[in-house]
Amino acid sequence: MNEFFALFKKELKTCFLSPVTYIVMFFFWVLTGANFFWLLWQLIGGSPLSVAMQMMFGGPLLAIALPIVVPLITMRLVAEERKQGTFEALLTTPLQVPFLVLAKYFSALIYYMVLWLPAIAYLLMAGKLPGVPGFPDGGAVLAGIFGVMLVGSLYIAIGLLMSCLSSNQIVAAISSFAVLFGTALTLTLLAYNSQSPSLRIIGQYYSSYKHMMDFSRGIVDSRMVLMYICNSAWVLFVAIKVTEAKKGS
Amino acid sequence: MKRTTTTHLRTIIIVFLSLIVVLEIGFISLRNPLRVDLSKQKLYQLSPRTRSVLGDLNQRLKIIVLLSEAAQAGNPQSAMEMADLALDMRNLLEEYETRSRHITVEWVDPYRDMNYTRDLAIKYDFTNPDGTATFPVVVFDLGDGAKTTCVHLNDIIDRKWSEELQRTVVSEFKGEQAFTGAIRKLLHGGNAKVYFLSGSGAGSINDNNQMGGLSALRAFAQRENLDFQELILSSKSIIPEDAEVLVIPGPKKRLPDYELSLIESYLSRGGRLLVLLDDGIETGLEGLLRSWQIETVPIAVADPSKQSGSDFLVKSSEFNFEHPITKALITEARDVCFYKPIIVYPRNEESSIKTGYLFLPGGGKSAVDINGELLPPCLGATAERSVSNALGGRSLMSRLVVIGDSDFISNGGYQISGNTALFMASLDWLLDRDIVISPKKMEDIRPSLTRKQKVKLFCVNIVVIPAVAVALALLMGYRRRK
Repeated sequence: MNEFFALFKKELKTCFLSPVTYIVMFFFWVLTGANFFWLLWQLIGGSPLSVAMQMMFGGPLLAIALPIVVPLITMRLVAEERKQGTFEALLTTPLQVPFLVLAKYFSALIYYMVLWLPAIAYLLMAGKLPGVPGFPDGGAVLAGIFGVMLVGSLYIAIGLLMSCLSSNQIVAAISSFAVLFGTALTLTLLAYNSQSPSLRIIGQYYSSYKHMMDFSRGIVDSRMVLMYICNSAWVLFVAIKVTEAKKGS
Repeated sequence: MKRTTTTHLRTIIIVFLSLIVVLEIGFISLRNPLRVDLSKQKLYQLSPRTRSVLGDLNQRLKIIVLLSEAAQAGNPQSAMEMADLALDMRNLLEEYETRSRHITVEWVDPYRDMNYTRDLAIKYDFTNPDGTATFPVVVFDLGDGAKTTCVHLNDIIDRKWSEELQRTVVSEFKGEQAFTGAIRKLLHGGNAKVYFLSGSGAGSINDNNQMGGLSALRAFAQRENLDFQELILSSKSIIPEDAEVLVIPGPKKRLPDYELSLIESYLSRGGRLLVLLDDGIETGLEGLLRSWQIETVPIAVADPSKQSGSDFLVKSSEFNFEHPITKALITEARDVCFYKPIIVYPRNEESSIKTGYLFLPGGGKSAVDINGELLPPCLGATAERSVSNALGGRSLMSRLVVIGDSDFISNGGYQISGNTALFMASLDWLLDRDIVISPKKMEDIRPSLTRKQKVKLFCVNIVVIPAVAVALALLMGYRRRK
């Protein structure tokens, strides 16, 4: 385990020393700030509280932002090291590949959680606004944060896998974006617009936009939770296997 | 075969097998969902009644929602309202889908899918009796067209005028009532017949007057799968066999003996009776009610918490929470407001009759002095007795609800707090139905922000907080250089 923590610490340090980290942070915080301001505008305009709560974590702005932001976080994880030649050097050491991959994954997840920190500030602000008793709803906020973490865990796992598959950061970022945005869009369309019940069930089961809408209104569903945990674990498992295969060759 | 190829092949097989395991877990979780609503409002949580109705569903039910969020595109307010309504309906119908695997929901935009909408209009016949076509919002299709019914927009929402916004806004979302009512209608056939006794000065469901008129109740009838009809007993030799409940809504004079004997006979056949009484009137029902262990005192009692006035507010904390009628109202914390109510209290002397009280203002501690007799300040009572059916040999249950006021359901009183809920809950208990949950109130909550506050919020959200990221970047850059 010491190996893991040493690697995790190193990854975290690398992450927070990178300028890309703060560029992503700046734009994401502008976006979440705008999202919060927009939902307040909706409330002022007469939208029900339930709708505003769903916009907090499940708004369309965020649904589009996440497939862009996550590849920017994960693109450098493996691809950058491979380009610099340090990854191959790491693989020649007695370090276990799962620890290496998991350390990168959890460091990215920590950074992703930092990105969401201002949301707590917005909620504290909302709690002090005059004329909106019961906003934000504590239970719904908890479920929303839980949902954000689950969606992030899967997105980051996919981004990490793409980074493992490529030796170029840009290629890793574009492929991650293509996979995340493409699947998110397709599954959301299937979930809401498909005429076929079977396709709609598949869409509803996998669409992260729909899940975020549910989490934001306080719903925690075992199907969603298991889907994210299992799929994140599976994608990480594939990432480990890909890295081990590269080590072997 | 090369060693690396074998390794790659083995990796692919392992990845593939693990994917099967993940899909299998997903499949199992889909079949056994566990859903928790952590929100305080629980806006879309289904009531026990809905859950019970969905439990009875054992064939395919297709729900088609015909709603366009771009309706009246020229009116952005309408589009926004439609978008909010669509979200509410989506959330609610999702709970229905989760609860029953026989339900599938299909969303159709009538403006975008015009051909398909036309096909639906032909299939489900949206034509009114006068030949015009009205598009419903939701179509319920049970058993692939075997039985269908529709729900319209007015069944789903109530509107009210907002002084602040200077336009009508949605005040109540009645989706659950409307949808469950429609499903129940498909499953259990037609509407339950509820007769309102006419004559003797009793309130009429055709009367539009504010005081005494009951026409507003008709709006609830359709939604609750009830068929309200007036009954003139003078021309009848028997209370109709299809009368599932008979309501006597505040007679203003004594009922003829002939009618009293018909009512008595109806009760002895397993009938269900709801009696609403007013002050100062001898209705002739007193003897009948006494035989059912219910005593009435036709003198108005004053609200002990008020110095003057005729209104009598019964707080939800004063309801009997063991009785099914009032239990449902307690969970919603709905008070009931009566006008000059009289005392109605149960005695419990005969074991074959099971009596109960509905509310006890002041917790029953303060007895009311009526002509020197100290009586419990009870304003509503119920009684039930098992009677045997001579024809089938089956045992039936007669039920009786007596409330010491009739004005609470009048056109002028039904909207006050939980008044309608009390009436509907009484009917539900008489009809052996699960007690319904009232429509969800859409809270009119709007932040009251000044222009200065809005600018401040904008600056904090979109300038100050992102600026922290810039400051952190500069700090890190400085440390790296150092």
